[in-house]
Amino acid sequence: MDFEFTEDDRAFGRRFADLLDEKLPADWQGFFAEDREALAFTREFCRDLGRDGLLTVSWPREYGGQEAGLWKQTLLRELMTASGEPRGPQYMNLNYIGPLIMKFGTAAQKARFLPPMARGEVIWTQGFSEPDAGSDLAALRTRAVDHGDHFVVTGQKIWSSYADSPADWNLLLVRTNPDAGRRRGMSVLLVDMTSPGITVRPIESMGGWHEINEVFYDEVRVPRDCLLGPLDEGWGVIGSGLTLERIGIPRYARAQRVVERLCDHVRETGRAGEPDVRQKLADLRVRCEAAKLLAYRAISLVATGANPAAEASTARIHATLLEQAVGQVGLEILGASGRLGSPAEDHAPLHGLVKQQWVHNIPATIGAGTLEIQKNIVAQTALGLPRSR
Amino acid sequence: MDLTLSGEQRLLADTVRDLVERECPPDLVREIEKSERGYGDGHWKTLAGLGLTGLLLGEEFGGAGQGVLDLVVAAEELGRGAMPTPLLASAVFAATVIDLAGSAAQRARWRPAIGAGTAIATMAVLEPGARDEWGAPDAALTPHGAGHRLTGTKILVPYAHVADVLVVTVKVAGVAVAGSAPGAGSVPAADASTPGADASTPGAGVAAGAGSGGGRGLVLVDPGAPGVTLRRQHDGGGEPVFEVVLRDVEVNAEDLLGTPAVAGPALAVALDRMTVASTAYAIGGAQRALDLSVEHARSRRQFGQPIGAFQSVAHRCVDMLTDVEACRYLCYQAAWKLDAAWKLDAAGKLDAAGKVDTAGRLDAPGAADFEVAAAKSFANDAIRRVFTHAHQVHGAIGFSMEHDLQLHSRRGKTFELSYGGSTWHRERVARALRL
Repeated sequence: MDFEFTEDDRAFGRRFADLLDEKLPADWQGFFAEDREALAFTREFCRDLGRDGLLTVSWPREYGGQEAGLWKQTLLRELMTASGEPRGPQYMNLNYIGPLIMKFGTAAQKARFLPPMARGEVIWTQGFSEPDAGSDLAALRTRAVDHGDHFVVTGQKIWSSYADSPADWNLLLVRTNPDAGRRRGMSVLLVDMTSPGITVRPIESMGGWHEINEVFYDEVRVPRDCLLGPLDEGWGVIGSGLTLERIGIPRYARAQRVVERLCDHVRETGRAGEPDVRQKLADLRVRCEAAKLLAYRAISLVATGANPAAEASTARIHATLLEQAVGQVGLEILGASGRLGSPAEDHAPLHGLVKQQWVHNIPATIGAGTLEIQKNIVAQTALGLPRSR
Repeated sequence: MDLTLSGEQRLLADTVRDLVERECPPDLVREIEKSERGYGDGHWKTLAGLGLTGLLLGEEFGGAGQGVLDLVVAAEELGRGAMPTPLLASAVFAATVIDLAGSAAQRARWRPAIGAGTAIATMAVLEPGARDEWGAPDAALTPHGAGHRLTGTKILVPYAHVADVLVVTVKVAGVAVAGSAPGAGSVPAADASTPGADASTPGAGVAAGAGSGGGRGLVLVDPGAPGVTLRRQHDGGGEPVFEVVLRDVEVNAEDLLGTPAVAGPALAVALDRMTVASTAYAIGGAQRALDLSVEHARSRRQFGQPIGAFQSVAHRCVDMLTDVEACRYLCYQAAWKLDAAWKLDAAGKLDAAGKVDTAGRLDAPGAADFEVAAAKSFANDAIRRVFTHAHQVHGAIGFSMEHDLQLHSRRGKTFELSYGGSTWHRERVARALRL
């Protein structure tokens, strides 16, 4: 057991921290702040990093990476997440869409889709949930009819992140065989978002303008060479992707950054001596530590070649609840002035950081599998409890 | 960075687990708890034979020279079986104090024997009304002839009835030890609105008595000496504990353990080690409570199905698992950090040499403040949650003495109330965060 990073890993982390200091605008509030300029900045930032080969630094060399190890990748992800994700929507490419194409893609698909991700030039969205298929994802009905050299897709997806950025490509889960049973007969298609028949309707959310969308598919033609993985076995493909997504975002790093800012704030405003404030901030900071260690445990297992699905879920449970607590408790500490939560407001404490933390984490326990679905997975896989009815 | 146990550590865990399952079944624990002795003498010899009593002992004395992390791995398995044992009280808590504060003669007298398990030492720290072990003692030494006399009352002293030596904390008048507070000088002085801005301020733990102009000392006392009276107490925690009344007990120069300037910091380090070791033991009990709950949820049927098929029950079990796992890794980290701060030197002595300043004070006793306080504050709350869920999942049967759950939930509550409560340790975290 070793609770310290190697000097080599630390030097790598410092290099990226310096890079962020240099590249982030002085008034950068994070990709998720209510700031339309932020998206344009993330495109520029990714292209910059891509030009220097730094965007996909942990990917294999053959796909444009530098094979930086798991811990360097972890440090990189922590810095990006803590800094409000300056990679914007493209974090998804790096965390799971790219790795899924590496795992399931044909040689031609890898050659076609991975280099643009490495260059930071492409935005992907995803199409999983449907109006009647949320937690019960296997109930999805969007249909892809097999016409030999192409599929024709018709249906509706919802909660498609970043589709209106606009997204260039889409990782789409569809039903290819309606007679094969609920979890069989699904396939994953890589869909060009400029294809005729696609309509994107942004959904205004509590969190701002560019997060979630409805996407309608009206007889969209998708070439057969855009099928990812085996026909009718898309459920397994997406399952791998969701595991990657669950451990890909180091939420504890953002939570810890906000807690550190809150500590600075109470020191600067003369409130650091309040017993209640001290207790609350200490408790949040300890929970950051717990969530981080659970993530590191899962990553340590990955390093040994294991597939820590249950460990990834427990880490995610801790981290999502933590992110919510930091926003909720942080606002309670700030009190009335915490109501001003927009960076545009002159008197917003910490430029609205804590209010943003609260609102953006309302869905933390909903996306990529609700807290309840996560708990069902852990109950059945790690504890061997019977399936719930 | 690597959060997996080494092959040796996994082997140690397996060995201790097998031993506990084989030699310490729950019915035997019940029997031992009712006995005069309060622990199994055979178990003690087996643990000593395995080398657990000598795990933290330097190689100069024939010990294994290993760290708290290895001890934690073993302690969790002992806790899983609720085995009553003086191991932590003697070979961790008292042993560390003697390692750090003892003279060459005192170490030579006690450490090999404690390490071999042929002698048992125990700490007499708490006094009536005490909230935690960091509070300033009232037991006092008064000069008498060439030596001193010791008078005071200690409570909840584990295994005092079989101890060969008691290590007693005492008030020492007129010795200021403020400079030995961890980070003293850089930590802003607590203002009047800070809770516990007195001798027992967390994080300033070893500055005990500084405010009242007194320090604290450590004294070795023979439990059979004239003026020492033991009375069994019952805290329901599964260990034999005693009130120790000290009335004009003779204390000679060779019984004083370290100067007051060293004694306070040595006690602080020993308390950190003991806090972490007892957390590991409690995690073992919490893990067992989870295992029992899962077994029950799988086998108990109501409304025509196993109760574990109800999400409200299953999700409680998952909450227990996530809490136990978080406790475990916080505990490992604290142990690792303590080992990084307090290594055995080339001669096999716990390295205090580099940490004694020019005034003879032991420096940096707070090297693992954040990690230890994080582990204990989280574990206190998390383990309380785990046992609340475990009892709820079990229903009425879990409340009966014939069920094994109570063996662990009673110990869990004792753990929560020992070596600092959540609020106390969170205040310590706040200080480590420079709040």
